[in-house]
Amino acid sequence: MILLLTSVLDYSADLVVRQLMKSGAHYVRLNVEDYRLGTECTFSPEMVSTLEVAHAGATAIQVRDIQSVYFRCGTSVANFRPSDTEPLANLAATQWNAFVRGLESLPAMQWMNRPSATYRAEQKICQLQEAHRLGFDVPPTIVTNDARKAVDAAKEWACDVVVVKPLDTVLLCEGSLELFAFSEFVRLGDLAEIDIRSAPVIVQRAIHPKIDLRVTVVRNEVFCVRITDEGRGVDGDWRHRHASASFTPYELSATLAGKCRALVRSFGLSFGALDFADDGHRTWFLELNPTGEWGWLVAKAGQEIDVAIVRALTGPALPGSGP
Amino acid sequence: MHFLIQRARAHAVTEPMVPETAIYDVAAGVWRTRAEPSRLLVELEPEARPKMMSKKADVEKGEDRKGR
Repeated sequence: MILLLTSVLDYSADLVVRQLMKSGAHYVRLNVEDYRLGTECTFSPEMVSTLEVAHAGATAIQVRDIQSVYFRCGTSVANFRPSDTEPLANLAATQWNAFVRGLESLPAMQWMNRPSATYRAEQKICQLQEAHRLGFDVPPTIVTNDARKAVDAAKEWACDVVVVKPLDTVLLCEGSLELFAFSEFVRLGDLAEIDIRSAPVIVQRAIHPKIDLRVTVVRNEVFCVRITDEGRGVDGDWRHRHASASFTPYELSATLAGKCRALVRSFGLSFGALDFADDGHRTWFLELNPTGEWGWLVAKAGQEIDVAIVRALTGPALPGSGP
Repeated sequence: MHFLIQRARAHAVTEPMVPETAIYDVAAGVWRTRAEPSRLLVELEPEARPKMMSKKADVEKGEDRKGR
């Protein structure tokens, strides 16, 4: 049996469910918002742990039958509307989220991905260090809340433009507005004036011109697309141009594909989405997303990532992927 | 004002979270169309799919989830 732990608005999980339906595999999907749907869950984390789930279709899960867990929880707080900041909604969201995270103690054969591995892999500083250790080209980087240090670093890198980006997702509510921070180019002449005192940021030498590459690793399978707009690379954060961007399947060199697998594996993951910037000479590692989105690549690039995920979840466990 | 807030893109959050033309099938764990015959949303052409409302849940924009 495959257990999917996710959120109700995880549209990519629907793609996995569709493939599970086709394969005839037994599965149960639990969402961090399921309390709103009337689902009842009870978990007894004892020597022989038990998990009971009751919702439409009244499912009782025998823990010993769980072959794999597909874990993509998170962002439930981020998905809340401003009106949901009332205490009960907040309480339910945080506690239900913790309940689902606690299911890590389930003795499933394999996880995609283990919550604890996901959390560690999300740390951008850890990612950059590990990528450097594995021999990726990593742009010169400094993490600081001191603009003067950022200026000094940029001068040392002999560049006139840097990228400033958050250490973690910035999704904020301000009244009825939702604020989302992207990666931003900043000219050296403007860098000293930016206000970063109250929170540290990542400052990197800008890679430009460049073509973005999105690499998705599912166990040993590696998918890659080049992201272009009107045949050219996108300066800055390509997500600003998502509507007109093209996603073209692209074959990585065997060496780089091997490094991508190694990076994902080094964090104890079996799934990871990696971002690169190719300047025509070198392919620069930007970041790793252990719960990276991939659904749009199925439709727009014809990459059967959903099939690969189900193949991994229903296949034999790889060494090191167990509890 | 912190640089990341100053440069952040603002979007109005006024719409409901759940698309009105779709329904979540709790037992199957998948979104379906309300209209009969019911179909899986993921089997519709992308242009025909109702939009998921959250910024973070909008897979078409390539946003990434976070584990917490």
